[in-house]
Amino acid sequence: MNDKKIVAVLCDHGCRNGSKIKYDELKTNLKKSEVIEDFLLVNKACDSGVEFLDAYKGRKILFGGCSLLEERGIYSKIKERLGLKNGEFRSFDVKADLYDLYPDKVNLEELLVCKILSMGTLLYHAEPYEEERIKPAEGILVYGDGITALRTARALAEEDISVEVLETGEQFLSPGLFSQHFGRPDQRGLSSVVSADERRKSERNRVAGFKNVRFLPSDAFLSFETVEDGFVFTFKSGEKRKFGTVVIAPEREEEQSRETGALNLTDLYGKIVCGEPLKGEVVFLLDYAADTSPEVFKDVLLAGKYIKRRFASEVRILMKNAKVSVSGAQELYDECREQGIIFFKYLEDLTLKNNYGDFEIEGTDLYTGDKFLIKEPDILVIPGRSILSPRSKNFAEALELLTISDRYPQPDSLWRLPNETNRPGVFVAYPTGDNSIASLLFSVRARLSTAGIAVNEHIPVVDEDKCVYCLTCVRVCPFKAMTTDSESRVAKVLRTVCQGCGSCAAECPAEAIQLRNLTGESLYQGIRALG
Amino acid sequence: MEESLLIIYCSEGGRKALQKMSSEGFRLPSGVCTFELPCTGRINDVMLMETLQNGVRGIFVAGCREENCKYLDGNKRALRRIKRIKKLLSDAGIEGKHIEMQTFGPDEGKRLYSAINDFAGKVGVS
Amino acid sequence: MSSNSVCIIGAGISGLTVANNLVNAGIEVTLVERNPYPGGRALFYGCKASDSCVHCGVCLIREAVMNFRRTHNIKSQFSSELTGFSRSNGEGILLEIETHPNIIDWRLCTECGKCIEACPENAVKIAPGWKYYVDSGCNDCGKCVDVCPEGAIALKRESMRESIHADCLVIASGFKPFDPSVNRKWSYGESPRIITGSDLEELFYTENYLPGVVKKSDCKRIAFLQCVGSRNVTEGGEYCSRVCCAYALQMAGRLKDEFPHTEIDFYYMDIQHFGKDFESFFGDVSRKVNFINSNPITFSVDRADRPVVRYESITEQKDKEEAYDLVVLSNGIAPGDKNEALAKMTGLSLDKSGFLYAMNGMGGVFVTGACKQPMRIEDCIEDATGVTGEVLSYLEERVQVK
Repeated sequence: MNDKKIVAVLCDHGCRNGSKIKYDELKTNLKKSEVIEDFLLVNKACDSGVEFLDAYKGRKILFGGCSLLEERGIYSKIKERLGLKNGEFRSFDVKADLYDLYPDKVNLEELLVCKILSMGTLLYHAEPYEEERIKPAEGILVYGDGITALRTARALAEEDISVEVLETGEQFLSPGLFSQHFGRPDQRGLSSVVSADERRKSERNRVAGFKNVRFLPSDAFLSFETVEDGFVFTFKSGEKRKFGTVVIAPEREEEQSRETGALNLTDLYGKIVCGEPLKGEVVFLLDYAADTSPEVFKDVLLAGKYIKRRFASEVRILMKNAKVSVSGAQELYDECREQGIIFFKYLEDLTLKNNYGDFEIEGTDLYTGDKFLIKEPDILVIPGRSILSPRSKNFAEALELLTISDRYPQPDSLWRLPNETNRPGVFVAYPTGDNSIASLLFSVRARLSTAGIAVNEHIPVVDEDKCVYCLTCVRVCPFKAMTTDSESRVAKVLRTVCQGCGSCAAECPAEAIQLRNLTGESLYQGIRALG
Repeated sequence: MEESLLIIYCSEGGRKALQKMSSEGFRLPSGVCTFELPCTGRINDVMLMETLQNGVRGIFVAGCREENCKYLDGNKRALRRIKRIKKLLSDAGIEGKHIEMQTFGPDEGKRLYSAINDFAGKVGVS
Repeated sequence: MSSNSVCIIGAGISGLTVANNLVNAGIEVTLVERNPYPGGRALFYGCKASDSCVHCGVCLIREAVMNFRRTHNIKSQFSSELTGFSRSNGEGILLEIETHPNIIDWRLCTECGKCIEACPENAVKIAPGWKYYVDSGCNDCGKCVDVCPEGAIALKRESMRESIHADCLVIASGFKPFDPSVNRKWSYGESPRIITGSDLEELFYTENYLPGVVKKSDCKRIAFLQCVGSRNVTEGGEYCSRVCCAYALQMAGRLKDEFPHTEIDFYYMDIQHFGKDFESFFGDVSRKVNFINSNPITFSVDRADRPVVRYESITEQKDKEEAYDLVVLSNGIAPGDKNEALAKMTGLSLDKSGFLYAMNGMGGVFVTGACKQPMRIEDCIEDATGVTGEVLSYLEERVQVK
């Protein structure tokens, strides 16, 4: 505890309450408190400069004013001039957070005394500290075997960032985008079919050409531990490696079709790549096993178009909704209709009979209202839900990442970019989106920037004598910022990871965790001072 | 602190809703104090109990909408905790109505205003 | 020039994201915005959370404006437009900015609110999270000038032209909501009970949820009409606007919460997926809304001034007519007015729908946000973050070349 007293300053320019405030009464009331040393009322702090505070060097300053002070950077000027550390200065918006909330006839002095005493108490109890920045360890781990992982590795390597790719070496045919298997979607010809494996191989050769890319032999790691500046992986070989940043390029898998004899999209790609003729009647049944996503819808269009052109087959696409919200999908949809692919929009009454691989689909078409019956199509494709592959899921689980319904290793939160996970320092690379790799690069570079990661103002401090090692904090922390020290049997805070929300302090049954500058004691006192 | 009401709000949704409220011209009832926390996830039993012991008539907590917490689940934890405390209080023979938590989007000034007024009416602070 | 400087056109969500990111990286930023306030189109949109957040992203705009307000080292010019663009021989870009008069100088305004009280025409408005500005309707009476204690208001200011030098230009000029009044079919403007999705957004912001003519107590039926101005060349754009299914469903869900006795019909062509948790969201909302897979044929207004929708019912195989208390036309995203002029000036090309074609990095001009394709708020933020990275790489390369 530091017993520096507070000098409270109030600027009454923007709010123009100056004439109404009984300055002397306010000052006397405030000075009764043991935390306030002096009180000043100033006018136009936004214009007049901050020199008047020179006499109060060495005290903590609590400043109330209107938003102009912040907009014009007055607060940072004050901190600079008086050499105030964090925890020695606090400001509040006297207009937005106080006057504007109450009716005009209210007793201003009483309000101000409450607010200043409450804020002052918090400041009085605050521990001054220098701003700390911690650099994450060097080295980036890219996890994944697909083309996205390789593309991410290349993009990072091109930015002169050293990358290590953790792959399995197994064959992996991802059900990803059709465009990834068969060339860019705007390539109208679709004449040459390049298999996913070939594309992956050529990308891998290209990536291997970079000096700063290293391929790690296998994904089998035994354990994983978070430390202050990164993540330590222990591999089966006994090797321990520390990485400052982890990028997951999750592999996706398509769920197997529940109808025996029907293909899913992955099976269809396999057939196309092997050059099997897909003649006769090819039927795609969408929105059946799962709601088809716009990306998959576009893939179906590309595949249908290819089959129609290459084999002159009859292609029918049965769906509930045409999902055209991916760029280029609407054009492709129109093109497919022009080329003679038949689309049915079926109503709820669709039935699918499966007689050992001979299918019969009966339903009603939305546009015409007519019943249709498709008997024994040569090929029936039912796209499945795309989910995380077991390996990616395991990896996400090992890293304790929050996932959305088995499909995305990110939390569903607006406050985090789509490439961020609940763990600071672990990013997700994903193939969709026009600018996803670019935004991932930005996030990674921001993490690696020379300044390092700022330690949050409200990081928890663990009282080692009080800690009972119950691990409640480890469990509740959404960012996984709490770990344990098994030797001394106390909880430990990872300062680069903590975001300062205070969940751990609230849940700790032994009251062993206190937030820096927002301790329980100061909160109670601050609330009490409101009275 | 007799006959008064405390509003604890988080610096995201709660604060924005409060400011929207004031910019729409609504004012808090007299005898209401406000206290800001970074996230409602910091609120715990001890804090609420001590405050009630000091003679506050009611505590109203304004957090972010569920699934919109900047810290992922601070508001959900707070909701759960407050539900538990309310139950504890009513088990101890004190009515649980003295504590309430609601969640607000950044634009819901009017709803915040009526929620605070309802609550003030319930605990008997005019 | 010693330090790098970047000029950003448009202070919507994309522009603000780029600006905040670049300032954090220590780059000098000039922000040029057409409106007298930052935040762009989506500033007056309202939160659509029902029981829990539905991820509409409006809170992110409030956050971006707040961050912008706290960042005091962005040079910002409101009510300004880009009027000239030229390259100065290998030394970056010369831009000409025209600033129209701002009646209220935001740098001096302390939000005391005296001008709002004084204005007889209600022309002074407040921008959410920002300050006061003068909207249309001002009749130059000068009453606000007299009451302003800061001297921040002046009626007669002159337009200014200024040339600035920048290493990079980021265009984030945004979109224009599709205007259904261009086609008589929609009957937009013929009845106050026919409103667009953008109108409803503003009603959500004011927390009224319904326009004044519709009484809350007797609002029995509401219809949402999808794909207004999208996916139809003769009536708007050929493309899918990507945002309308999302916002219409989110708003419909909230309306049902607000007015549980109201029936909501949702006329649609195709429901587009959005968001990562679409399935669970859709599950919730489909219990609140009746889906009708049909495009209405005609509109009329009945004697009680209620809009009547005539559509072809598929299940019953005949044309049906339904009267509603409120019809919401979910209008899509149309390319911005200035796209053509911007493209001409900067040498960018337009795609066939009229959006700017992004060739990021070519000659230091970058395009981000809804001016290049329809985007939701979250997508804009992601795109703008990516573009910031590209801008930084471009600037680094330039330094190395020098």
